[in-house]
Amino acid sequence: MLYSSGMNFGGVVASSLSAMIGHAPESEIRLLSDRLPAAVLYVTVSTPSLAVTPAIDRALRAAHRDSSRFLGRI
Amino acid sequence: VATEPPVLTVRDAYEIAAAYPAPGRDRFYGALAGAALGAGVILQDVEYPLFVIEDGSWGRFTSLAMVLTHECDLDQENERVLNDVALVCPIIDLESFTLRINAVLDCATASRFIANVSARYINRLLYLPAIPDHLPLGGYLYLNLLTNTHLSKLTSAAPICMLSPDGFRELDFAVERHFLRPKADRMPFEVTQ
Repeated sequence: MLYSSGMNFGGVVASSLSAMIGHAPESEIRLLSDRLPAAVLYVTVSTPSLAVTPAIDRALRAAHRDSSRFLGRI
Repeated sequence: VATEPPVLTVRDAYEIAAAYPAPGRDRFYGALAGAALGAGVILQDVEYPLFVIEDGSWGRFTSLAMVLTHECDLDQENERVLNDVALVCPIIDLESFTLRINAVLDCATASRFIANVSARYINRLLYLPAIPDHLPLGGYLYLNLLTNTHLSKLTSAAPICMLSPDGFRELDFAVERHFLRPKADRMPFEVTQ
């Protein structure tokens, strides 16, 4: 069963977690009780993530080459 | 008259990357002050191997890089095994990235991408604030581009600075976001022989 942060109980806990977790300001906080006793909640924090498209991958690789010195093949 | 589409300037990229508030981003680094070689130490001219996708081979590179292995696992005074190699993460400077990303994204999309990284929406990348004289506009740790190197390649490199407690907190959060995510797939409960 999944408790979303929009639910009453989950919302209270999630807002407290949001206040504590400054590094993930807009994180989606889900409280999962799947396969666990009701009294034990497993908390996961996930952040929205954009796909690193192949074009950005290529740009990152090229930027790494520009930021480094190539010493030769192994 | 046709006009050139706008491109993201390096200065604009820096202002976007550095604009997102983060507790301690203005005190991200500290002096080494005799600190041991270990996690959070940034060195110049670290030599490491990486795969070169374009020609399908492995290459040796040298660049600014951050050590991720704990100092206890590198301290030669410790009588323990397996303490002569370290995880390192090459640092990609913002200027290089901006110039390259302009080749593949339009100005608005590139700006959004850089902003999203600094806002920590992209787990794979961590923006590192500027390091005067070495990383003047800041740069990136690409957490899927970790590699390893031998201790001798670290002791021969030039230590620059290390993360402050605030910097370590950002790194810890980034590592947690990226590596400690729950698996998306169902995990098998049936043990196979």
